Amino acid sequence: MKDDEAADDQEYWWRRYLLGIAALASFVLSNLAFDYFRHFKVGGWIIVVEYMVVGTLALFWLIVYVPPAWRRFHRWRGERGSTALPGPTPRTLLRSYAAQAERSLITLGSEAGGMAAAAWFEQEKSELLTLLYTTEVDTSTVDDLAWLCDALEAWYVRQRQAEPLLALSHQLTAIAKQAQRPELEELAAIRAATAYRLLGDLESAADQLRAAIHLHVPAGAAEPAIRTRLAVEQGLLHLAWAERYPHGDNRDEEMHNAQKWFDEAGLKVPRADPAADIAIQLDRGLVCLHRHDTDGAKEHFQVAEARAAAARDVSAQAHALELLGMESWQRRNTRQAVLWWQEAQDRYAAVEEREGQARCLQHLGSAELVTGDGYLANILLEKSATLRGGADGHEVLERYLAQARRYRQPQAEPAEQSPTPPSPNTPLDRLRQRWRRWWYLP
Amino acid sequence: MALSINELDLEVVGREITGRPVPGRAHRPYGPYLLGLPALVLASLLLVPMTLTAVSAFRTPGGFGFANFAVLREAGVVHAIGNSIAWIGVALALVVTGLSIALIGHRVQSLWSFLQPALILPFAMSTLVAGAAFRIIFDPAPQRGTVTALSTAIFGGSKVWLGPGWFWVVLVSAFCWTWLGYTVALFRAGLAAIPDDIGRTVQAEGLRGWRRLRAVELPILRPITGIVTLTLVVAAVRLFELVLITVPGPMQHDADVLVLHWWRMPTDPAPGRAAVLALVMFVIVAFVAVIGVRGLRRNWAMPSSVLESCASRPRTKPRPRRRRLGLIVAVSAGLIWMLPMVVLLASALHNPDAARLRGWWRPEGLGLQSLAASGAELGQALISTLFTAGLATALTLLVAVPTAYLLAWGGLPPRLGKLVITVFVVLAVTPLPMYATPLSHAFAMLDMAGSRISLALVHAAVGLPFAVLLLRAAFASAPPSVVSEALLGQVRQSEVINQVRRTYQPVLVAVVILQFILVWNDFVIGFLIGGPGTTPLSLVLWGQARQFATSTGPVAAAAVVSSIVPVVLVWRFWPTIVRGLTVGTKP
Repeated sequence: MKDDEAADDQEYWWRRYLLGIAALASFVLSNLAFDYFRHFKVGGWIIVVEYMVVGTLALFWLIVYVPPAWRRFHRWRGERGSTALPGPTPRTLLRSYAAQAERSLITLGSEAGGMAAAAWFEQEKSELLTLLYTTEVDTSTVDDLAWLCDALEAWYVRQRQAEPLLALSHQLTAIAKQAQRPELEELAAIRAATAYRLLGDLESAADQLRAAIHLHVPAGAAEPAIRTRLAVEQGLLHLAWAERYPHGDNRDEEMHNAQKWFDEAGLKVPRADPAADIAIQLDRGLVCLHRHDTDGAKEHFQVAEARAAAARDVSAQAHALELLGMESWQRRNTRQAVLWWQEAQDRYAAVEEREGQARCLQHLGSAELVTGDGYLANILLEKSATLRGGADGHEVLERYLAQARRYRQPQAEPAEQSPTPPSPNTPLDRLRQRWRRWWYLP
Repeated sequence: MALSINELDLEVVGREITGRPVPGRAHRPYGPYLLGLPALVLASLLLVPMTLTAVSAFRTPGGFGFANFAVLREAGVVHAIGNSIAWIGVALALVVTGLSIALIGHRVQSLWSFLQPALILPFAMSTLVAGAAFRIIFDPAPQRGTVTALSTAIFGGSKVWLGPGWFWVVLVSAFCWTWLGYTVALFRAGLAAIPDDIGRTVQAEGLRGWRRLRAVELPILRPITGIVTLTLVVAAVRLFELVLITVPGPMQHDADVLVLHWWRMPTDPAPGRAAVLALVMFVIVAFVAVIGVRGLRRNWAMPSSVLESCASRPRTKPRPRRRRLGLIVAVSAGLIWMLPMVVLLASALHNPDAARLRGWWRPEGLGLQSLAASGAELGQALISTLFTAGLATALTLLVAVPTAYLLAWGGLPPRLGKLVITVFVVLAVTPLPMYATPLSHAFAMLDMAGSRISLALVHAAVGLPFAVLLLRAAFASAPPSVVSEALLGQVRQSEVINQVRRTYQPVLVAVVILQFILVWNDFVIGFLIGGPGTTPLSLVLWGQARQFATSTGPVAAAAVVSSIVPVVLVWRFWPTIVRGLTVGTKP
């Protein structure tokens, strides 16, 4: 991305000088015009207009180009200062792992290297945690430790591992307090809220977000990103609250609040963060889905899918496809829904995102169970449970799996008391069923 | 999270933002900033001269310092500042009076139906016309002055109303006559907008009288009180032509106010002294404005119009006796309030000699000669004023609409938005002396003095801030979710315009009418900046009024003719103007 921006900058370098050139040209031309029209005694107007135009263009030039130049100067000074420091600290191991974590974080969920990154996290997780808990915190290590936390957080969230995520956020809080870095403290509070939400403890999640809001974070380059993250987590928490009320005013109010926070996040998201932008699009679509606004949901999910494809973010693309499947199911377009979920499952598998893959298999299995093929449903749901290391703690999966286990054999007669799934009744349906079984069976 | 869709329970997860926070700011396109460009150019017509005046106040022969501020210790200046502060007191008293009348009118409906037309029409008339009317009414000769004649008939003698001390009664009466209708109407609109459920709750709680006023009505009316107070205080500090036309020459020193003193002050040897006075005036009104205008700085206004009322809850009718009493009071008060207009019309319908020698109530000397005498002179001025007012209004609208759009939801960073609004608030109340001298010098230097276009430009620049603030409130009444979708490019911006049409259209009408009337009735800008050749209507009226005693008929005729257009406009569009003025002030 940075390369693209640099290329754009090089190609359009002349834009930087456009306003200045326009101001100069206006000045010269209007002076010429003034000299010409002075004989007709109408020159006064030209001078007034000239000063206004030149002044305005110059002002705009200052507004547009001085702040970036100032930032560049600061960056240059910072870089020069850092190279002038005496040799690197002896924490080379930490530095090396932080650099590797940074690379893996960037490639996690992407087309290029997503699987390798997942494998790296799986393999090095314990080593990263050891470094995190044993390294002494000081100004030279805090940034590397923060990198480790960032990378591990992304990994835990993808795998929906709430408890390690909570422990990680507590560790980051301790590091931030020790290093007196309020922005890291706020980030840790937001991550703790995510963990509590995943654990179903919404009150504690709300407490963490309240604490995050009250932390005074100095205005800096990362402030909009942290505020965006806070707004997204607030929205997700309201969605979680909404689930506790199936109907009624409370649910509507929670939905409204969720929408409000996602809107706010949309206005704050940094322009250089496409992943955050895609996440907000998906969450906004999710609100539409809860409100049975299928058109709105489809619009958001399609935009997110297109942006994820452009950014080569396979994980986000798979998530968008998974949600598109739900939107199709809401329209009662079951075949399209199954197709979306199949595609999403493939993409999750391609980046080794097991939780996502398991979810898609669960959608497919439960859909098969409802639409007719109990045998195939059982296979899919069992695969989902295997990927998750068992169905425990996954209420929906447990329920559907219990129903599907009655159809373990293709020819087995279902138990009398079990609900009878509708059987395929046309040759085309039978053909389609065979195809699906062939596709999913080992 | 599980979502039940069409008989299927689906486990659905939202997407968190993970990893390292990405540095940088939100994507803000620079395109909308261009919408503010015309306003920046137009406002610089005021900002640049204001800066020059401020610098000039500190410039001394030896460099920079506070030497010019010694002028504030001069007896004349202290007297003028004292009078101006007294006028601020009058303005505040008028706010209280207006609120009281509005509260009574809110409780006794019949009172308001009759009183409203009489109260609002003076708002359409220029201060110069009001001054002329009150000068005729309080003329010291019993054969001409209405009040003097009445006092003489009843008490056998009368005070000299335009004499030392008593001219204050005339001045304050004229000021109140002009502004009371505006004050009452705005408070009335605010009271009518109190939501029905609040009204019901108040009734159920048994809140009455003073407790109801303190607990419910005053807090709800706070934004409107802010706007009314601001308008009246600014009008009081800017007072100029009313004193000039109403108070006879020898007493004008006693009635001296800041603007008048500034105008009389010689600028040539020491321009800094006059600049100090201008700066003092500016500081006073800017202080009042920044405090009083908090209602206009709301981020999001309420989406509905303030004049909406719930049809399901009919008002309780007062008892017949109370209604009859209200009717009698309203008709009497309305007739008294109409008196200055009747006096002007009757004087204009007398020939010049009859108007000069006898009272307007006498039938002798009726005729159209006064109208004819002033008509010849007024013809050119009418066309000139129409051109200037039309051009200034069009310019204001062209520049204010995109600027208000930018401020309401153009994506300005919040702090910058607040700063720009504060600048507009301060510009809206800036007294003329802050920019008059540098502007008239610049126009003279550029051979533009006496040009109607330059006069229209100044008027547009002066009217721009208020127009922008009003229009911004209307634009901001769009629901935030629609606005954010428009900003994110997910809905068309026309969708937002459609959402605010109900509030946007009355504000647009209000801005057009008010700006047109302000320019039409203006005296002071034409007098101090316009220069010879612009011939606005009020300058012609002022020229005739300089020989007031000998030209009462033509002055009254000129006043009547010049008031026809604004009176018709205000009469026709008054409800829309009130709706426009109170948009965004609903609690």
